[in-house]
Amino acid sequence: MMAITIGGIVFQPLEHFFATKITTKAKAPELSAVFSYIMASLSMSVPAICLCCAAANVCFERVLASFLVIEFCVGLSSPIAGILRSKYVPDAYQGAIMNIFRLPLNVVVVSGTHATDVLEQYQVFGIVSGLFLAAAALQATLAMDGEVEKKQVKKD
Amino acid sequence: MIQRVKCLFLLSLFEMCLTVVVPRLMILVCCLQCSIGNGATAILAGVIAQVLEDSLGHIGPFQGAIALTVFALVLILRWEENYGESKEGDHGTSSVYRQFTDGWKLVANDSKVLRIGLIQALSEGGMYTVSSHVLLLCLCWYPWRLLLNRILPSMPTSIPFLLSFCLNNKVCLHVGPHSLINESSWRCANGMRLLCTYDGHYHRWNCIPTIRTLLCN
Repeated sequence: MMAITIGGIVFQPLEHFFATKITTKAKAPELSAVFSYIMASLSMSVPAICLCCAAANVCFERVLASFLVIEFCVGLSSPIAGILRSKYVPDAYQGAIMNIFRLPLNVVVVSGTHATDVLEQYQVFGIVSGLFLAAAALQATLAMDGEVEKKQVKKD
Repeated sequence: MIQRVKCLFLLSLFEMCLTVVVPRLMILVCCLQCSIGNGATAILAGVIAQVLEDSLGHIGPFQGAIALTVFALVLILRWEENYGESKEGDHGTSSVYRQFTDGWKLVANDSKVLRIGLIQALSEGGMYTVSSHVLLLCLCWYPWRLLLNRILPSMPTSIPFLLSFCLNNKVCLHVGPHSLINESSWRCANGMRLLCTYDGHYHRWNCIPTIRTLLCN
């Protein structure tokens, strides 16, 4: 819980860093989200690799650290998700759109929970890492869309 | 199941009201404060649950939850209604069916909305999956078991202590990360408490063997 809280606290300085050093203020939430999902994906790849290929006792600290990082990412991505939804989804359809996407969300959760019964632990962590990576890739396309649009406006 | 339905219902409601009640420029600040408040509330909830359990018995935390829910109801009664209309007073065109059909059309026509929805589904799905899996790993993976065996049997059960082992506020039941009062950690601790047995000979609670028998075998 402390890691989640710290993630929430860190969001604003992180967004400020992206807004001033790397991109515009308008695109900072998208880049922050990409950063958060990539970090989550990397953190989940640690138990996937450790539980697969290394001795259990060697990995204990690394796995513990990776769990803390994923918690940090949960805290970080929580405000970002709210901001991005309010930015892209019209207010009148917020409820409907959110409920529509609860369907794939729950499919992922049920499949993931079922996977814990039938697959090895490292495989499940690998799948979760892949899910975060897919989210990061989709988020990156959203961030790049803005850049492409801006370049087209400049050309015109 | 009732808890899960209630949480999904409240989550939708909170987020819809957030976008209506809070000005767009303030959404960042509000989301940020929610995220920080969420974590702090969950830690506090664990401590309060322990105090209630000590004074009222096993049912104490549940009674406390009822009181909190009534308090939340009182707060909600003061909110303005959000019918989901695009213009104020446009209730006629904002039926549930209409909103869903229009919502699907919007998803089909606007790839950005589709991508935002998929990002949310993938990331939250990943978070919930890992939460339930972390619990199994904590209890079944050998190094964790060594640590738990070393510490837990020698201590009376304490909800904040168990919470620290959960490592995640959603390990027991899948609850969304956006709930304002995060009750999942509360329930996590109480769920664990239900799985503990009291060892009268040594005057201590013994949790891990029971949980491990249920989960790992």
